[in-house]
Amino acid sequence: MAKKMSNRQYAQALYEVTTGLSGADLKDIIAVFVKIIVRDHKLKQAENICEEFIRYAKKQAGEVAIKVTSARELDKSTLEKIKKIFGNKVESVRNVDESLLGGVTVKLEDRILDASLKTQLNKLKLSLNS
Amino acid sequence: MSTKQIVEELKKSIKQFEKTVEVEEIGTVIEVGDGIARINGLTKCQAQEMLEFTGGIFGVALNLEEETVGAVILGEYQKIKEGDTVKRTGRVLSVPVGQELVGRVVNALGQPVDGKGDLKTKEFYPMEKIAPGVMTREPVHEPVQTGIKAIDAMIPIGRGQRELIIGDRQTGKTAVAIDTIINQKGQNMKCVYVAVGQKESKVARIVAKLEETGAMEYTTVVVAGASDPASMSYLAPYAGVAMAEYFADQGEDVLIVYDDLTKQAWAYREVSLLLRRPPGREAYPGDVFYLHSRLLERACKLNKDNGGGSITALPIIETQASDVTAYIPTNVISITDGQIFLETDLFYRGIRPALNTGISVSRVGGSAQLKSMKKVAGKLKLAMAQFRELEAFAQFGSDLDPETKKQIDLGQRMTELFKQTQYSPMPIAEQIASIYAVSNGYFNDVEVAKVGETEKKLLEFMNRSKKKLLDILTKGDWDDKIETELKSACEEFVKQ
Repeated sequence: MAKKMSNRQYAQALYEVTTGLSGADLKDIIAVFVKIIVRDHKLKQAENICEEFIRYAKKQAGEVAIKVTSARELDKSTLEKIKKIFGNKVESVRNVDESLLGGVTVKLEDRILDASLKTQLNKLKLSLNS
Repeated sequence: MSTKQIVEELKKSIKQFEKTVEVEEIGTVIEVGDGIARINGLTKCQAQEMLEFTGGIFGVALNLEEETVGAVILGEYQKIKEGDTVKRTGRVLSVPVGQELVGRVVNALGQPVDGKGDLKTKEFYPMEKIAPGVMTREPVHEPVQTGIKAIDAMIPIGRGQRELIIGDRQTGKTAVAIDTIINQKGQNMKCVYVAVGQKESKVARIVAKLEETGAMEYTTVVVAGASDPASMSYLAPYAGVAMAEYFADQGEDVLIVYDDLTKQAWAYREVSLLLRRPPGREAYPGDVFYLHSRLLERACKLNKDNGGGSITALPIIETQASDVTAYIPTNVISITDGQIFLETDLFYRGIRPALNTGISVSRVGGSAQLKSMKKVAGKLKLAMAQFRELEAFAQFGSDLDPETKKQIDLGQRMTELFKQTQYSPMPIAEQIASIYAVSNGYFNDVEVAKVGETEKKLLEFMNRSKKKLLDILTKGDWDDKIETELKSACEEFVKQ
């Protein structure tokens, strides 16, 4: 039996074969892909594969998804400034968390850029303790 | 820190406020169970790296897979939920080390559990470290005095040696180790006692005993109790040896007892199976040999250029029904420099410590034995082996030729002499004196059952009137003059 493939690998494969295709070709490819998924008993995972596909496609197109959390509601211009730092095609989700006290944190895939007052104060506390 | 400094610090920090941005790498928990967690993300995670879960609970990354990281949780895993974020700390697993640890009871992470306040250590050592290489070592040449006659005479242990203590449950394995720790008083030795998977009550009793005998003044106890998670039991020996390494790096001699490695292997098996590593023989993972070999290799005698410190390891292994051919016992026997076998049979016959002198060996300790002890006890091991062969004939009594009878006689008296009660380690000079007296026939007129009593009298006599001779014997020198002196002392005693 072939090596187990992860959802991400299916999504990547689908992306690679479908880029630049349209119309009948695309339909055929998708039909074949669905058959492969059925063969591998991965139909249950179809939704997750779709999600992975969207994520991968966005990444390939140079789009970045960020999640901005701030202590208070940010006004539009500040958000635009933050977005600009991460590139031209930035999709953002806004979030308000009062426990941050001030400043912002930006979540970018699996990294967090933390510029919140809460973390700064914690750091200060540590340096004073030692 | 003065108020002014605090204000300064605050000002500085506030000034820098906009410049510093913390970059944290995070992952999300996708599965939790029985002390392990599977985490998505954490792309740049290192092996053995500490991870911080929400709520300040720490974990260690053990399995780095394509999409996920498998980690053990050190602490209460009940509070961790699916979807929690996990932060990288960038530190590999380490424990606090330093002189402050002496006299303390700590857990596998080096946190005090004895209620004597915080540790004020400054340094951290990584738990996992590659053992010192060939060029930094030298052969063992100084003795570790266990204070147990049978061991010091026949199975000598050197500083830097690894001597396995093996036997069934309830044969006095821990007793041998604890007696050895107690006897290190004034021997210029630091001790680390690592209790793995032991009952908390037993550990409490041992700590109380060590305190009572004053042994806690130079001892650190590392505890991973039976109720702690398996990950703690797995890590405790590494934590202990890291603390020992600190002392060794300062040029000190350290004795470390792992009580016991069987339970550590069980804990590691549990963790490995939960992390879905493939099981092998007896369901242990493939690297269970490496688990123990890398631990015991860290016992060493460093040469002068590297400070001259040493770590002597006394690992303990519990066998089931005296089966030394099981997986873990054979592994550890092959790693160590000898073993002390304790047997149930002997234990119930009243021979305590229940040492089987036939299969107990010390492969390197001979060169570390004191010269005087070597001279006195040199032929003892062979004599005892011959005695065991002949023991079966002893019941024929009078039908034996005088030579055989003599050997049986000596064997019986020696066996009697080697009986020793718990918590009563004996100074080396007294050991030499009594072994010399018995093996040279000064006890031949004493009934076998009264050997112990007579020995006590002999030692009283020696301490009273031959103090100088005992002092000389402690130094370990041996020549004809000392022997004649010892001889005349024995004769004087017999006459009384």
